[in-house]
Amino acid sequence: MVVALIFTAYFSLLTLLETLSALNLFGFEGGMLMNAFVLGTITATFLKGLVVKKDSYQLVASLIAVAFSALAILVYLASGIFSYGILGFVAVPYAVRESRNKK
Amino acid sequence: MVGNPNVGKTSLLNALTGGDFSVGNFPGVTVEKKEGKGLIDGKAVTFVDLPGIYSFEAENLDEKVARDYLEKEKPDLILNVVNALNLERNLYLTLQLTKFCIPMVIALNMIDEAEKERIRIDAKKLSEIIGVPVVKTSAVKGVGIEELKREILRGGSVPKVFSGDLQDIIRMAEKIAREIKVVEELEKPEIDEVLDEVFMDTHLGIPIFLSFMWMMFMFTYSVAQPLNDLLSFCFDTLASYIASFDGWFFSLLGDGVVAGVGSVLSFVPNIAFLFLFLSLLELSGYMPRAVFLVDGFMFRFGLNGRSVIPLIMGFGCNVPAILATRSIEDRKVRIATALINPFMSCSARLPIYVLFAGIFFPRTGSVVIMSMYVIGVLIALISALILRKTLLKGESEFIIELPPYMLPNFKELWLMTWSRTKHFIQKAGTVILAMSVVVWYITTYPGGGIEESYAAMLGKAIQPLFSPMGWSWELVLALISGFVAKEVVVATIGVLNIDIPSVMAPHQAFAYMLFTLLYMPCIATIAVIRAEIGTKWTVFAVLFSFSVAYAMALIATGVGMWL
Repeated sequence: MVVALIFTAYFSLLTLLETLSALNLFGFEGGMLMNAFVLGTITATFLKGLVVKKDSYQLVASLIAVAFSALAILVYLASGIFSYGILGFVAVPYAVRESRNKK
Repeated sequence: MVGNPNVGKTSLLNALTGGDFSVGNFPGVTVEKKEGKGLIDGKAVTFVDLPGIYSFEAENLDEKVARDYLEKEKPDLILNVVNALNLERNLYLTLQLTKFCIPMVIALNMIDEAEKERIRIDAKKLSEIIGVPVVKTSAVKGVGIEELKREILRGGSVPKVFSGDLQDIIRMAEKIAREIKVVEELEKPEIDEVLDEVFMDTHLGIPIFLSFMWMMFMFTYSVAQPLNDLLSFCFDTLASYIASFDGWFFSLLGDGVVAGVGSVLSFVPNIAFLFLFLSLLELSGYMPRAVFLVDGFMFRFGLNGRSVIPLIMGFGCNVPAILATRSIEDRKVRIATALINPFMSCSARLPIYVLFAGIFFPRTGSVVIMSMYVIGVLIALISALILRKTLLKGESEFIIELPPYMLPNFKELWLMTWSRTKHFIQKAGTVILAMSVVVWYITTYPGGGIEESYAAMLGKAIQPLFSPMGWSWELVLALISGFVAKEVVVATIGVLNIDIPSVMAPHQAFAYMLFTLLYMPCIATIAVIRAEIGTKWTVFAVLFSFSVAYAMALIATGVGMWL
């Protein structure tokens, strides 16, 4: 559950940063509200896992975070648009380890 | 090839033909027909993949097409594809097939998945009961394909006939399944349970689905954009180079054919990326779950869960979106979904919004643009409700099977993406070629610049129709040119050098944006609507969307003047 707590806090921060940059607040700029929505969904999924104490939510949230991160990197390479979703790659080790543990 | 939906018939067709199959329609109807040739021991075998059906009891179009094909075409052999994971329901169709007295071979497909779930099936016993050869296969992994080919060449056997009423057949199917199947462990794979628990979660299911849809948009537009830009640049350069030579032929070839067809072909990367993502969602097993999730909401508007994917795809391009309505089994729901699809604001309309919002609503531009998307969705849903209560009245049947999650293999993903992209190129490309020549002609002749062209005459002749909105003939001409492709509206405004702020007020601009959102679909979309649901409905789509657009633009102008 410690992992879930850390990921919830981490993705909450990314959601906040993406929202601020989408709304051009406090000097942040260039973000997109829909990216913030995806990061918010990932956060909510981690949070639900924390509340109901189930690993399944953590695993799925980390898989979505990894997929979104990969796409955000591709978008950055193709068009130069940055999203804080790129930083979701930190969930890769957890996603890989947990996926292997499941049949 | 006959079987239930989602039993892997297309994968098996891929395996048997090496992916060499074409996608078309059955004669006189708009049910998808996949036909391919496979070479088995030097002999050419033609495979026809009939639509996925559950029985011959209901009167839906797919079942009618399948029954007519078996009765009238009298194929040499029925290859009955059975999902080894769900024998009871699949055998129900198998027993009904015995009535046709056509030689048959049964492919027990997805046998690898069944074995993973500890389901053991006695194929020999099934063969004895039905009286036909039974082969265990896994189309995705290539298991049993060679043995299946041998049985196909042998020609199968005429099955024992199982007759009786509906209940009798169901009981017989259940009895046979009990006799031939041993389930060592009924547990679902752990990963399936984990994924389903979250993807089907009451609170998180829809946000996760919307997140995937957004990722699809990112992949389709942002990631594919450099390829799109590169193709656009190549076609533009080629068109300019050809048109720089003197003579009408080079003008036709450069400004007409290459520029027109190139404008469509430059979208191929976006289309291919869109289909790649959709194929990934389908093959992984997520798509049926998404359809199930949104079914309740869509039902309120007379649609069903399967309508949501074509509608979302419509934000990208209405052409593949209308092709995607093929996944909707209920014909009336399918027609309704195809008819309302052009109200979803495709990406080609965005440059128009950006242009007008930038000039007239510099502070609230993004809100105005967003309102176009929202209005489009609302009008689409209201139209669906009206259509389903009037012209397309009827109950919607909706059965969906939730297949196991799978990691798609690259070959299958590629074949699925390519067959759909090829279809887009063939369908839209041919129509655009013809229309490009027509547009080139009316904008070039009788000569003396675009203002003296037939297109200008047309704009001036039609302009009185739009006088209540106060739009000039140039703006009307831009709308006419948008009939070819919506992006052309902006291009025409540029060519005609219209000083927009001097010819219209903000409320007229808003009405103009609304009109471009709703008025008749572009020519490629019209061609696809005609191919998919017929000429009658295409005429209706054009008239209906034009009437809605005209009424909305009139209301917007009136309200704007009043304010």
